[in-house]
Amino acid sequence: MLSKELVAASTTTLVLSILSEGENYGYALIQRVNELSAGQVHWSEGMLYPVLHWMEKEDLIESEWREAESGHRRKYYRLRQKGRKALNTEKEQWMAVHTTLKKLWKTQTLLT
Amino acid sequence: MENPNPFDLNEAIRRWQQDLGASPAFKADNLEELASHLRASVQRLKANGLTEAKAFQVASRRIGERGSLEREFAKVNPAVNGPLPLVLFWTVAGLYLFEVVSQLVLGLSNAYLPAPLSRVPAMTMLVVTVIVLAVRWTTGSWRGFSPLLRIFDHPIRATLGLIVLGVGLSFLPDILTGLQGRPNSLTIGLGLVKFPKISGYWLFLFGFIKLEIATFAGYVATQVAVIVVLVSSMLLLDRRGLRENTARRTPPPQTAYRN
Repeated sequence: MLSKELVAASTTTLVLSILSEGENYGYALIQRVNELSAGQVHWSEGMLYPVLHWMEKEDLIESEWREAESGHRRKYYRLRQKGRKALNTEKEQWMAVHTTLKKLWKTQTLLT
Repeated sequence: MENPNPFDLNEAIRRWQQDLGASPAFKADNLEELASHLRASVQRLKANGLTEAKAFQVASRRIGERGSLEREFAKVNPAVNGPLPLVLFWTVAGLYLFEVVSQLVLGLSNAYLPAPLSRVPAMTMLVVTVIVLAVRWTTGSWRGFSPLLRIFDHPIRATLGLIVLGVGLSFLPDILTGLQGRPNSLTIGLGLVKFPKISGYWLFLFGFIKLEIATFAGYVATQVAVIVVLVSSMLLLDRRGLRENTARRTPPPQTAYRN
């Protein structure tokens, strides 16, 4: 399971990435992360919403209340232009960390 | 055998929202979104074979504890960005408290300090208040202040405290200054809260009423006006609580949950 610090550092990137697949609502975002990470990335459920609201204030995403099939209202989030740009920057940075670690760990496995 | 008290999900969610709604950290929109999350979570848990009651229990535990949710939501919803009734409430409550304390300080310093020095405590208080408000505004929280100030996080407690303080103390400065209270720059500058009192002074200046009556009627009118504004903004804030009280007297409607 991911440490608290890594969860905090990666939440925005994960949200941006999932929303780049298409608009979605809070509960489904959590389900998607759970399913993709096989439970490794664990979000405290209610804590996601303040993050989403902060991202909305920063113009990274926008939201809209709509009626779901069940007849109840649901708040859907989708990416905005600024969010797409932010996602590209985030991608580069995470990939930089990823490739560095990968190279390091590859040499280490060869040595051992 | 049929359960005599069947679990009502709508009712349970409503009560859960109400509990959170007591805190100013949550906007109505936040509460609706969290409720929508709970519903989705309950649905999923039920599909996995849990009873509705059990599913609600698990879902509300998973969504997080009240305290930690409150802390996180408060970060994105500082009170200054709150809904209008909340802002109104705090504006009036703040002016009211300031008015009461400044009257007390003025009265005491007029009574005990020589003329050139008597303005110093009131001016110091004004400056300190401005600094505190500036810090509060920029940090968006009471962190770093005395934990005692947290009583103001709760509108009902704060209002009761202010009313007791106001009614009890507002006549004291007049007794101390021997009912000579002429308007001065500090008291005139207070605007909204002072309006009824200042009108009283105008009536006096134009010769309609005596000074004593103007002062007394002004104070009474101020108290009444402030209490009316505070209570009505509080009721606006607590509309959900009001609805619950009505619902207790009549059986809860069985219609689908909306908003």
